[in-house]
Amino acid sequence: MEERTRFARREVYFDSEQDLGVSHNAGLEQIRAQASEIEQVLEKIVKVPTEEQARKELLDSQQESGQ
Amino acid sequence: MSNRNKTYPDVLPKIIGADIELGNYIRGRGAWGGTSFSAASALLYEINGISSGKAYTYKVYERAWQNQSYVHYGNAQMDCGSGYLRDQGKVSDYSAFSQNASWQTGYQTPYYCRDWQRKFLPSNGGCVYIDLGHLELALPEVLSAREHLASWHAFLRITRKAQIEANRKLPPGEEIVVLVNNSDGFGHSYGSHLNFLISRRCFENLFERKLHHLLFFATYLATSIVFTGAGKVGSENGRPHVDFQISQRADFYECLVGEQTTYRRPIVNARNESLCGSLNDKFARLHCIFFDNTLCHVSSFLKAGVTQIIVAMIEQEFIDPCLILEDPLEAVLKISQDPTLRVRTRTITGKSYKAFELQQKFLDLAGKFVARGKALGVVPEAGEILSLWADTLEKLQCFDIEVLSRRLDWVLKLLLIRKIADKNKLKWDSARMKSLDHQYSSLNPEDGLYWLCEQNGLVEKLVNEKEIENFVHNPPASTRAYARAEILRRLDPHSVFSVDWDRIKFRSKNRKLFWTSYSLTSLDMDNPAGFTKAACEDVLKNSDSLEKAVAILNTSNCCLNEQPFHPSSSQKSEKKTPSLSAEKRFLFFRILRRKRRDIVLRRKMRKRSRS
Repeated sequence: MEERTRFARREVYFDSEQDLGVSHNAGLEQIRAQASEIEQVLEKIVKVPTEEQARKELLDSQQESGQ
Repeated sequence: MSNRNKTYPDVLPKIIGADIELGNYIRGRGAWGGTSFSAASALLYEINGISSGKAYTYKVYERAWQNQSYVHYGNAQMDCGSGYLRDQGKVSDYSAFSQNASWQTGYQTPYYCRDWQRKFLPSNGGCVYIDLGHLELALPEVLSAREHLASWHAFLRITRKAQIEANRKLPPGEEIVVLVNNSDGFGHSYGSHLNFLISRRCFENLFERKLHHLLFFATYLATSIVFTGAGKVGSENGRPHVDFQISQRADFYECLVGEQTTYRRPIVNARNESLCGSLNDKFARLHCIFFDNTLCHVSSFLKAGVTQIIVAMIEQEFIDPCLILEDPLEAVLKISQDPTLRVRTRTITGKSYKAFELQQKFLDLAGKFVARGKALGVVPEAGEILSLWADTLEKLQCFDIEVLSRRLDWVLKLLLIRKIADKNKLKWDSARMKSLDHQYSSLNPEDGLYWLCEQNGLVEKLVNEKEIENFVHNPPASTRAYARAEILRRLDPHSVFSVDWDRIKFRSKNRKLFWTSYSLTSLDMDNPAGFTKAACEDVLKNSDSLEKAVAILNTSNCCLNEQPFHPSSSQKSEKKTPSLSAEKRFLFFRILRRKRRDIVLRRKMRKRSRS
């Protein structure tokens, strides 16, 4: 019974898009977290950079190739 | 009795080591070519440790820093670095390396890009250095996956402390950022390597005799990314475009096996470097370069623990060739690029499996291995590893996101980024998304997404604060890291001649009636499983001097290696050319003696011919 519930839950995330030949990115669209705490945490603390800030940050973050 | 003459079993405890590179840069500096080297230098300076080279290097290093700011810091470090390298005879021509350094600092100074300025930590027996512009953390050898996890988070704490200290000294507007990830999104990757102690026979089986052992291991690694992946936005290295993938490193694997680590990276690395001194023909080190830098406790624990079990199985030839993938290289990429976990990969038997299904088969085999008692004395807490592995695979099978996001980095990252993207209407290929990817792995607890989740109780923790803090200040008790740390603590840093994983060499003063002579004393720690707390604690406590303690430890585990040399020449060499080692001096005098002997012989011959 428990197993069935889990599989059923999985269907919530992915439906049967893969079987219909939809790409995995479409599957990603369907990921919906149930953990409401994560949303609460994100609302409080995450500062999303602007596009310009993000570009500058990415340029700064360039690394040397390592091992 | 020397270590070499002892008999060692072909089944060894799976001691874990790790050498882990971090992403580092200075935000707000904007130097052409990047700021990774400057950031790594600043971080390295703030970590207390003893130089693995000569004390001379350490002195110059300190003095130079006292008078200079970070802007000039690269120059100061390079000067002492060049001294160290000259000492070690590692480079003869510095010009080849100077170009690399000068574009970062503006100084034409020598710079050796690999394992540079290695410092061993007397606090816990690990070490830190700069490797190709990255701060590299080399964790002390540990026996269990739990210890590895605690030690890994302890090192992150040490780095964070260094980051805070270094940031205080930077000019306004600049800030050092440390990323616990494996790629910068521009096609540059850096590693998170795990090392496992294996028998020489096992190494030969893997790389020289039994190809199926190698393929079995490669199959395990390729499919393990479902629980060891750190997640990444986008793809690199010319791989097909994808919005999000499971592994940071999958894009960079280009061959199955090889010794190289910086180009055409192999899934299984064949580097033959045991770091076990004279026991090289008995022990070997499996240098595993495959994994990602993970922050979640469960992911890091399983990465080390499950690999311990798999490596032990290979060592004891407990493998099933039917599990071998037809093309592990292709499988890594396919599995990584499908976060829905539905992609199937084909084994050599012709059957196709999903990644977690193959892992389930590895688990079944490992279960039999452990049940037969083959992991006893080889992998600590094997039962705990198996049960967590089994539970995580079960959760992967039903894609239980609630539980998985508390355990696996790639799921947590995907969930977070996805939610932020939804709220802010971001596209996957936008710079903001990639920036959030980096932000997940930022070491700064104020903006690192992982740390924010950890603080709010959204991740499952396997080791507590006390265990982590213990490894910040203390070495592991069950390996040679204990002796290394304890001896370094007792030594004056300036008397340390050299430190490496398997040897510590230091100068000892011998006071005679009218003069003082010096000698080099070394402790050879060839056996990584030896020199534990149980073996060393009493000896170190009860001996009158460190030299005597080392003598006891050497005779109980290996022969004493003491090399006399002239004190005055050593002082001279310390000022000018500290590179002239006792061995070289010995060779020099031997050549001199031979020349004198030749002259005497020639004279005798002449006399005889005249007579």
